Amino acid sequence: MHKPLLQVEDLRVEFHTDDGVVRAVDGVSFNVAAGETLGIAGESGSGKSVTNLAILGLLPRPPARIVGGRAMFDGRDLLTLSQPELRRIRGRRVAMIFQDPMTSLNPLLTVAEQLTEMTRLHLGHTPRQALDHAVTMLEKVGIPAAGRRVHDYPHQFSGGMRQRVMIAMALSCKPDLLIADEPTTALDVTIQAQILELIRDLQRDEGTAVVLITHDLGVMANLCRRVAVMYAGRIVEESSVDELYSRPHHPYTLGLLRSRPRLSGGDGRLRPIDGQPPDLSRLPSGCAFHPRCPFVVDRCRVERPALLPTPFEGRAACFVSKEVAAAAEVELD
Amino acid sequence: MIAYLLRRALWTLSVLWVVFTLSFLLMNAVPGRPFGGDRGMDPEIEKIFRARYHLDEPIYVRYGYLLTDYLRGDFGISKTLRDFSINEIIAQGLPVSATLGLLALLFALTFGIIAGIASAVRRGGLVDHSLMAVATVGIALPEFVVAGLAIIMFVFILPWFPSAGWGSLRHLVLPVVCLGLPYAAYIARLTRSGMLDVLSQDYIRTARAKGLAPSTILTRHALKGSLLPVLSYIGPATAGILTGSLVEEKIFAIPGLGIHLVESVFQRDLTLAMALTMLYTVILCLMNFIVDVLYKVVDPRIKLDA
Repeated sequence: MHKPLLQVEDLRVEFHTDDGVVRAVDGVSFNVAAGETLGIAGESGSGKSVTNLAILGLLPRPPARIVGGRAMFDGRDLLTLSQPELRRIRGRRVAMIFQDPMTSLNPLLTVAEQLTEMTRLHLGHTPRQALDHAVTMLEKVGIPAAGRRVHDYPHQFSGGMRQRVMIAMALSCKPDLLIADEPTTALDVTIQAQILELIRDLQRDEGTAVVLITHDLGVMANLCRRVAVMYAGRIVEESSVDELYSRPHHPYTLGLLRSRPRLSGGDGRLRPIDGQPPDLSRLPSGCAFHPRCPFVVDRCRVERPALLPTPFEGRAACFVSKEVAAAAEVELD
Repeated sequence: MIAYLLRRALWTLSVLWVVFTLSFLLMNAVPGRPFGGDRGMDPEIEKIFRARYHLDEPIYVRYGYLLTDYLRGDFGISKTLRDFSINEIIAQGLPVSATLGLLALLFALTFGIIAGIASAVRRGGLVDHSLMAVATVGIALPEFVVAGLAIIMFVFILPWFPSAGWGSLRHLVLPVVCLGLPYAAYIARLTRSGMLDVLSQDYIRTARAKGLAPSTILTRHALKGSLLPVLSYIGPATAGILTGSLVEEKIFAIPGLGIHLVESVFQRDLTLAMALTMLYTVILCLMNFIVDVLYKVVDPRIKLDA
């Protein structure tokens, strides 16, 4: 068993707004081993991005407040580090790429300026070294004529190329962990595949661990071995990809799988999950998913299920997980 | 770029021509005769004037003569200041007014930007609230009130500065500060909102995720973008300072062009008023042109040729 690179335990994040306290992340725990890819799936507002921003201290405080938990990285709790200490980890050891490459790069600085400032800061490069390194990184992510284009501004690149630039930037200090927050959501479908392939190749070559945040289960299946599914600020199921796709133990996961378009089988209709994701400041009693759950039993309305091991090396937070798994097996086979 | 400069020059010339024509027509439409007034005019001077400005010719001929004079850079003679040509008056007054105006603009930019950044960074804190309170007062008070208060404060109560005159650094302080203050206040507000806007952008989060220090993020990633609104305000601010300096020059008895412009209007010295109007127009066009080019320098997404 590898010692985990990142170990998040019982993370709790609240937002204090005019409408009251919003529990965006409510007791989330997960591990990432060196070189591993973990997928975190869930709808918008399920807390997947907030979890990862909180780990790196990137949430605006106020209104956000981390009210509990630990995020152990390399023997130190990231949640208790001072800002200067965190800054030595951000970018250098843990890098992030974001959803929208159109807005995540500074429009007023050249790509060269944005890439070199990082290696000059963290790796102590001279301007010359940093520029050479930037060109190398751009070549690595497949940007043609990198030596010339490094001096261009972000608006001179297409969306896919900008995301490549983001990836080149994120990986330029050889981080141990890359957090990719919906890296392909804003891109064309054809470009999405290219970017995913790029992330996979780079990860294989560099041995970087990746946390991939996405709401796209297809993307997840492509890239991850292990997946955590979040709902209303909590992890509701966690297991290996194969397991999750063939035998989900949580009705929400099953709902997600059902609502995907599939090429074969079924009657070809999409089956959405009924209802809306809950308002985090007014969570339903018991299991937050119970108002939308086809498997609901009385107990779900009063008691919140804990995340418990399933018979298949996963974990699920559901009182009727066996029934769900059995139903899923029949349906998804 | 060259095509842009050419097009821009042509555009500026047409603006100048329109201002010239309008001013000429207005000048002719002013009620009363040009040589009227309480005391009338020395017949000798009136004769010279009639000859110099072809006043016996029809209006379109006079228009043609005047336009040729202006194109040659000859602004003619003044009705009230007999010993000088208008060119000489400008040569004396312009350096004084330009010094006053430029220093005021510089003061406004320096203090406005620094105060704006400080407010944005300490948003919601004591620094922010007090600076923005001062700024609001600064915008609301007209120049002559500020100048009056400043004179009471720093001339009479604390005798630090002379009340009027020109020639030394100490003479400069009060008029420059009084002239620049409303603009400093407005620029502070612009910088603050620009900075807050930029600081909420995704790319600032990226910069933080890269591990950059707050000071680096502020100066390298946020400052440029937050100054774009300030940059576009420099044009109107210049116009305001030009007219504001008319008031300040009067209050502080500064021998600049502003006094001449005010006096020329009261004295119906139409030739002088016309010349100064054109001069101010040129300065304003020039400033707007500089601002547009600076915009391009700061924001690479802007294409001047498009």
